[in-house]
Amino acid sequence: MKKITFGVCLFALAAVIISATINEPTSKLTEDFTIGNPEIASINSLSFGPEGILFLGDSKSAAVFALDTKDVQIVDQGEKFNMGDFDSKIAASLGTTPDNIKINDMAVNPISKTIYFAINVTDGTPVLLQLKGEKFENVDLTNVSYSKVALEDAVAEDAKDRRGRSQRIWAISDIKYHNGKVLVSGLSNKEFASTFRSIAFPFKASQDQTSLEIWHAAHGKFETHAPIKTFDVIELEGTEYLMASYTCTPLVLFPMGDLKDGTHTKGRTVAELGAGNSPLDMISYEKNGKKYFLMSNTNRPVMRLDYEDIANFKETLTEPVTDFGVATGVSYDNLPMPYVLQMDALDNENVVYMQRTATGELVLRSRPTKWM
Amino acid sequence: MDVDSSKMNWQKIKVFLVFFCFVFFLSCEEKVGELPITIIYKNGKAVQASIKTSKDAKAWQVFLKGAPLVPVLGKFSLNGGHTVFTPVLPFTNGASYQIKNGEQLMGAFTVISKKNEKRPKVIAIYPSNDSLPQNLLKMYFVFSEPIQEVGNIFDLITITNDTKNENANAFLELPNQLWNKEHTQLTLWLDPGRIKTDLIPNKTKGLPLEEGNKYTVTIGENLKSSKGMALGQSYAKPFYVNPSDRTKPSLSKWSVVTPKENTRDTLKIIFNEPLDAILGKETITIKNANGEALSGRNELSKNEEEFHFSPDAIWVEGTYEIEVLSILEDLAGNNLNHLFDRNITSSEGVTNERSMSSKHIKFTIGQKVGNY
Repeated sequence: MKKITFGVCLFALAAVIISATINEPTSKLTEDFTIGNPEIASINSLSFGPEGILFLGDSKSAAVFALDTKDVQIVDQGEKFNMGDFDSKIAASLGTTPDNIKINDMAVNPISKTIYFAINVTDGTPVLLQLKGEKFENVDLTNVSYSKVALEDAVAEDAKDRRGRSQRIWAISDIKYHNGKVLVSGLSNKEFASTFRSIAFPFKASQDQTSLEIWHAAHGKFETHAPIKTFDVIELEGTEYLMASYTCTPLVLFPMGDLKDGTHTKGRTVAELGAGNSPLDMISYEKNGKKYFLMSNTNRPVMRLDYEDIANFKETLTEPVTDFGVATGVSYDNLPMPYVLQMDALDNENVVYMQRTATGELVLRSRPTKWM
Repeated sequence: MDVDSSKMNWQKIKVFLVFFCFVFFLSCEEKVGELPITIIYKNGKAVQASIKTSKDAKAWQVFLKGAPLVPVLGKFSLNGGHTVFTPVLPFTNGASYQIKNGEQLMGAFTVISKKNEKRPKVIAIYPSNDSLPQNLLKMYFVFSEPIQEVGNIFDLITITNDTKNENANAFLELPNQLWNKEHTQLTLWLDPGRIKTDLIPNKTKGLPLEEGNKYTVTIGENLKSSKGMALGQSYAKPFYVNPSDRTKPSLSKWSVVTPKENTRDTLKIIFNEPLDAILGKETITIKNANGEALSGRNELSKNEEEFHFSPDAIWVEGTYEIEVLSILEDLAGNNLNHLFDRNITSSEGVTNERSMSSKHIKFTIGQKVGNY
C-alpha cells in the first residue's frame, strides 16, 4: 500500500512539474511577438535562430521577419534523404510544374531537424514548405506568431523630406542569427555598395541597426566596398570572425569585434575563389575533433576549408595569380559535389543538400560529414 | 458551368470542365460515376474546385496530371452538397488535375488558359547611349508589366560581341536577380570581379567589354510577364565600347541652367557625362532657402547627360540649393565620394564617406539669372 501511495505521490509530483513546465511563461525571445498575418511579400533567405524561430528575409518588404514555428520537438538525428526529381515533386505539391517555381532557400530547424523551403512562383507569391519524410506540408503564413523589423534605409532617412522617391530594394542575399543578433547582407538594385546590417534580436520598435562599412583589399593594393553574397560566423583561436564571400569572388575575414557602426572596417582577403563563380551557401561542421568550413558555388564544386588553415593564414593576399580560375590563399579541397544549389547542416553528423546532377535532375540528398 | 466571383461579366471566363469516367485506371481502379466539378475563379485565378458529391471527401487527394504522385497541398471543406478543395496556390492555367480517393479516380478537370492578359513590352534599356565605357558596371531593363519571378533570366537576356561574333558572357549571373518591388525593373551587373583591378577574374579574363568592339544586348521574345504572357518579339540594343571611365563624377564640372522668375520653366543640370539612369533621377533634390524640398518632376534627358526638374509651383525670387546624394554613380560605378575601385597606395579619392552623404550647389532665381 505504501508503495502504491508513494507511486501516486511521485506521479502527482511529476504531473505538477510537467504542468508547471507547460505553463511556463512565454519565452523572452517571443514575448513581443504578435499573432496575425505578417503580410510577407517575398522570401529570399531563411535562417533558424534559437527556440525554433525562423528568420525570413523579405526583399520586397525590405524587412526581416522572425517566425515562431513552434516546431520545437527535439530530434537528435535528421532523416536520411535521397529524393530524385525534387523540383517536380515540390512543384507538384503546389499543383504546378517546375518551370513555374523557384526554390529560393532551404534551412534545417536545428531542433526538429525538419527542412524548410522558401519557394517563389511565377507571379511572385511566396510559399514556405516543410518536408517531413517525403511529404511536403504548407506553413500557413496568414496566421502566425511573428515579429518584424524593417531594414533601415540610411539614404532614404537622409532625404526624408524628398517626395516621390521610389523604394530602394536590398535584395537580401543572406541572413544568419548569431549570439542575439541577426546579421543581414544585401545587394542593392541601384548603387553598388556594401549593405551589411547587424540587428539586435528580439526586435524592438526603436531598432538599433549597425550598418557596416566593410572593405576588402585585392592583393593589398586596390580596395572596394562591394556587396557580400553569403557569409558565416566562425571561431578561430578564441576569436569570432565574419567569413564573407563577395560577388566578385574574394573570401574575406573580419574580426566580429571590429565591426562597429559607421567604422571603415578593412577585412583580410584569405582566398580568391576563381572567375565566373558566385558563392551560394556556407556551413561549418566538426569531424574527428577538427572544424571545417564548407562552401557551395554556382560554378565550382563544394569547397572544404580547414579552420586551422584559415587560422594559420595570417597575411592577406599580396600576389596576383595569372592562371585562369586558379584560386589563391588558404588551400581548400574540392569535394566531388558540383552544382550544389542549397546546403545546410542536417544534424551533428550529416548535411543535406540540393544538387543538379549531370542529367539535369534536381536531387535532395543527405550525406554523413564523415565522408566529407 | 463556371462562377466568376469577381463578377467581371465582361471577362467571361471559360471553364473547361472535363469529367472522366474511368472504367479501369491501372489494374486496381474501380469504376466510378461522374462527379460534376466546378472551378471557382477569383480575380481571374482558379482558386477552388467544387465537387458535387454526397460522399465523405475528407480523405480525397488532388494530383497534378502527368507529374510525380505528390498530392497538391490544400484543404477540403464542405459547402452544402459540395466538397470544395482550396489549393495553397491557385490552379495553373492549362494544367489538368485528378481527384482520387486512395487509388480510385473520382474525377478530373483542366483549367483553361486565358488569353486576355496584356503582353509585356520593353520600355527602356539603360544606359541609353550607344557608346559605353569599357568598365560599364550595370544595365537597367524597364518593362511595362511585372515580369515572371521564376526561371533563369540569363537564358533570356544575352550579350554578344558582334565584332568577334561570340557570346560575351559579361553579366554576373547572380542566382537571385535584382528587381524593383513591382518586378518591372531589372538591374544586371557586368561581372564586378572582372572590372576590379587585380582580382583574379580581372587578371585572367580582363574587363567584360573590349574597347573598340561592338556588342548587342538582346532580350528574348520568350521572356514572360508574371501572368505568363510572352514579350512576343525580341528587343536588341547595340552599342560600341569606349575607353574606361576612371574619374569620379564631380559637381564642379556640372552647369546649371536656371529658369526665369514667375515661370514653371525647367531647371536643367548638365552633367557633361552620362550618369546612372535611376540614381540620377532619385538622388537630386531641389531645395528652397528654408531647406524645404520643392515638389515637381525629375527626369533625365539627353542620354542621361542632363537632369531636368519641372516644378509644380512657379519659381519665386530667392536662393535655392541643389542637393546631390553622394551615392550617385556614373556608368562605371564611380560615385561622388570614391572610385569603383581605388588604389590605396595613393591618396586619390580617399574620403570619409559617412560624413559626406550629400553635396550641394547653390543657385538664385530672379536676382542673377544665368548659367553656373
